[in-house]
Amino acid sequence: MKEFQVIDDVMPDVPPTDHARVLAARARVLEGTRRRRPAVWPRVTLAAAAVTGVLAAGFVVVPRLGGEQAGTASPAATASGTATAVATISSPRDALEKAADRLAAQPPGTGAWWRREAIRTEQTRANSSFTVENRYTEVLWIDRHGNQRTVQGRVSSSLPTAADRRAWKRAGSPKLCGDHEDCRIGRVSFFPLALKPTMLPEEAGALKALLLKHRPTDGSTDDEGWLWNAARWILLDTAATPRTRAAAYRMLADLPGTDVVGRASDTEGRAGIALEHGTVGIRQQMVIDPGSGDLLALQTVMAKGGAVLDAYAVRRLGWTDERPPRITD
Amino acid sequence: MTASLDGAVADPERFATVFDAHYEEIRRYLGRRLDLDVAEDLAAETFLVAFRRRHSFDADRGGVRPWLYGIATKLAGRHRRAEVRRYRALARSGPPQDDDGHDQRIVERVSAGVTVQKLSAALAGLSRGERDVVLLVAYGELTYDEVAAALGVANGTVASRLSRARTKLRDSLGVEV
Repeated sequence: MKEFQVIDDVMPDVPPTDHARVLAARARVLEGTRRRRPAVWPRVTLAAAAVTGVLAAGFVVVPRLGGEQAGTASPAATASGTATAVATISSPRDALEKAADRLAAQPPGTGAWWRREAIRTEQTRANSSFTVENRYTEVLWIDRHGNQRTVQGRVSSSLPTAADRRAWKRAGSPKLCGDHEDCRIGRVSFFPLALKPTMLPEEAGALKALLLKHRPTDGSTDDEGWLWNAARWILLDTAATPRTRAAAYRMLADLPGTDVVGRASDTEGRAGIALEHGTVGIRQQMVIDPGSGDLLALQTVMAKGGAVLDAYAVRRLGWTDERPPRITD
Repeated sequence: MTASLDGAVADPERFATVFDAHYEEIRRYLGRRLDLDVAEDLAAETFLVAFRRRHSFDADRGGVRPWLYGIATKLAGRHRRAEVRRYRALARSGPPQDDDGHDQRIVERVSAGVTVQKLSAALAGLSRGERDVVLLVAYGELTYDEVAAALGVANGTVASRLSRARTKLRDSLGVEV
């Protein structure tokens, strides 16, 4: 028994936190960190710089997605088509292994540019009486030399529930971020500085060993948290090969604090298997198409109720003969 | 580039992961010391302060958890009179009826004579410094070294406060804690 266990046992505990309250606290904290973003601008990489360039030029090619219903994204059909197969496979772990095998067997692809197109959804509750959901499309382009460009679409804002709409009206129907021409939602990318995407191994053990070698020594993260962040970077922000991506799934699935979940769905209504990690209340979720092994989404969800705090739902990912839009000055 | 700049603490995008990983425990820690509304406000404030002071985060003095608990404890310190009032109220009336934290362990403790009322009265009788170290150990499960890092005091100070607190609690409760 730990010291002073009696206090922990006897004193009244707090009720579990609810979605709205976590969202409000999270929004307040993250807004607070973003306001101070200039302090870290020196670290902002090419990708973020390109966003600024593109937006400053008013070159927004992606149409507004407001009000789009789930399932309009192109991979939806394949994902939902295979989702029913999930339940018939003996265990989520087996399903994940098979999905990783299928992904690893995919050809690396051809073309001059890598394109990762995702819908980013973020719920925020900066005003404490109602929740706002902001959505936009983000397209990351990477050429064969590793040069990157990111194009961010226009933000559309919505009020997720009838209660939010009522609270918003009571608050005087204030304009939401998406109502402003210049609404932008910042994202400062995370890049492990010493790692080059071209160095990434295609086997889970070797990948884990390399990533751990680069773990920050400042005590800011434990091994597992670091590996999840690094895997997120590999899967979302690099042109890693299908074999490396499959290795990332396997690496995470083997971690003691990671759960393999048989069925999860993303913000676009697509179902898949999922890797999960996090605390009792707030979970990081990686949703994977069991049929192809493709990454469907990376999202932060509330364990109870499944509300999505933020998400990247991947629409397209891979090498292409298409080119990014030209930046005009 | 130094290692600390590569860490979650210094990076706004990755700071969300610090929040997601630790918000619940910080909220729970504060919520067991103060009224929930105040506690939730301070829990969010803890992370804002942490982010503001991220450049002074010193990994050599412990990890992120003790650092956050230290900030939360300092914020709670501004409400110490409210905290003591709360213990006195609990000492008079016991836990609120709708409190569903009553599991089997509590029943056993109550039968051993340690009740919410008695314990609350005992906690109200500790000095602020004693209560901080006891509750960081009891609720945060911090080690002595981590408590020292969290509060920015010497290890010897932690040990002596704990020793005094243990004596006071034993005298109030009539059992070893």
